[in-house]
Amino acid sequence: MAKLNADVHPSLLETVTENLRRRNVVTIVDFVSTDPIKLTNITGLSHTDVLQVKQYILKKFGGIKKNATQLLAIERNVIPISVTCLDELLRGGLYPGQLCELCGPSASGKTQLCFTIAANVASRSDGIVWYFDTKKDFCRLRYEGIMRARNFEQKIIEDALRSTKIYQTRSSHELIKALRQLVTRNAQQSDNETTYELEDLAEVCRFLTMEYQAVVITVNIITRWNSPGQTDSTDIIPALGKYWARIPATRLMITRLHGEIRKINVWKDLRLIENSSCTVTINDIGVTS
Amino acid sequence: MQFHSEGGLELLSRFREKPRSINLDDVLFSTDIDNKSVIEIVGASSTGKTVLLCQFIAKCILPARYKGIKIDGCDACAILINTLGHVQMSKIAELMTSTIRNAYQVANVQPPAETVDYIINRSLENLTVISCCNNNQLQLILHTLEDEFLSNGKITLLAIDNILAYYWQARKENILTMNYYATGLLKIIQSQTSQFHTVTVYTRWDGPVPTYESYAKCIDTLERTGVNYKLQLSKGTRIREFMCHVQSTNDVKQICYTISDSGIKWIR
Repeated sequence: MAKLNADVHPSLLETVTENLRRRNVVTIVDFVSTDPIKLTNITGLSHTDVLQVKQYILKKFGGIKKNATQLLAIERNVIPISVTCLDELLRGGLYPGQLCELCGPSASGKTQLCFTIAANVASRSDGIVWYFDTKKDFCRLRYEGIMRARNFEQKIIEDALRSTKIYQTRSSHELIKALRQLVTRNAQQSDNETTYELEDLAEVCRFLTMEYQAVVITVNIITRWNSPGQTDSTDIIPALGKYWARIPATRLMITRLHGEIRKINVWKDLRLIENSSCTVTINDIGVTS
Repeated sequence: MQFHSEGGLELLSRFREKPRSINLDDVLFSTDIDNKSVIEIVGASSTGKTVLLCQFIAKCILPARYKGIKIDGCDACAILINTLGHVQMSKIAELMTSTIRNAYQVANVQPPAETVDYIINRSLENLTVISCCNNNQLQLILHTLEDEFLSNGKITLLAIDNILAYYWQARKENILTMNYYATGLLKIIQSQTSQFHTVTVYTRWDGPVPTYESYAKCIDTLERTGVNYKLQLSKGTRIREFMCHVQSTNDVKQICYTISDSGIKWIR
């Protein structure tokens, strides 16, 4: 939790924070929840100054307050994926601020679907795509091929390639660090325990979706791992465990039907009908309906 | 001789006009619920916790009547603390649309699309959404709820989705159980809302608690945590059918329900 120091507010000099620390006011939350009159006595600052510091902390570290009408207007700027049946399934496409996960068994076409979405979004004039490649398998030719197959003009393809930024990461630690740099937040020391690392990942994804209204897409595999409390042993679950399973707002599942035909199911979403599905064709030219 | 001293806030809340009690759901709560109640919605993933929360919000912010048509909303304001980013305004709008259309249908009138949009937009103005990303932000927000309530006297509902969202962040700093963490947050909320007439409703994930609990133990837990109504949602025996177990300090009941585009539908 963020500790009180001069970085938080210039008037919190070392002598002041030391006095506060002695009275058990260590973090910013302690400061905000302590009676201002008491703080005035401890710090020697004037009452107005204390209130100002408090307001400043709330503005800098507090949440983002918006009216619902404002948020609805943002949500309605849906970003189409440009795969007709998938857009229909998603009622228009992805909405700003959505955290969406694509799940599926290996070789079901998760990466190709992700490439297609990225290519279609990047080829829009206002689309910028950040692609975090954890498997080191981003292939420019494959990516370009998807756009070529859609008969985009050379200029559009060049612009799209320019607005697609690839970031190769070798470890989960690096991925979180890279994502943090994206939102220019100072990287904190990180833990090696899995749940905490996932929590860090979830936090930075939330930050991207809430503060910047970015659409974040994660690609994940599924497992049939048996966990205690699981009633049906054939139940499939997304990888990364119970904690991560609850994080994405939307989860789509892609499975192989036959040949190049794939089925995309809605696994989880607040608005869409669960288990509704569409079928798509998947091959070198990406995903088409 | 002793004097009773009173803070300005207490004085204000005494002078405030007599608060209206609200009924967030006719089936779940047979009578109006006390306007200081705490409602907990708990259940496994995909059992409709967030939908139910959205439904409560929709009911709270909709008007009671519109041009002679009884819409049966509470005509009040609400605050939503969105900790996971799962609540979509379009979902709340969708739920309101179906309520408004039903209300018009009962009155045998065909509502023009503009009227529906107008009511929805006006109602959404009653809702303030606070988004947060981490435990720090959540704690700061909770500690300053009093200011929010002071700035708008019409706020009658505080909704949080999901109260356990940052449990692991808090746990990283010190080892504590999920229950202890949730109760801690609830205590902050109660200290902030004590001078106001606000119903608090929050969702939480299923913990590793046994599903079967004796009635006496439930009451005990309810009293200890300060929760007045516990709505335990679970999947039913049939496909697409769910079960809601309602526990309050003086009543226990079970209601079946289904989930559709228009929200949760109770089967009586």
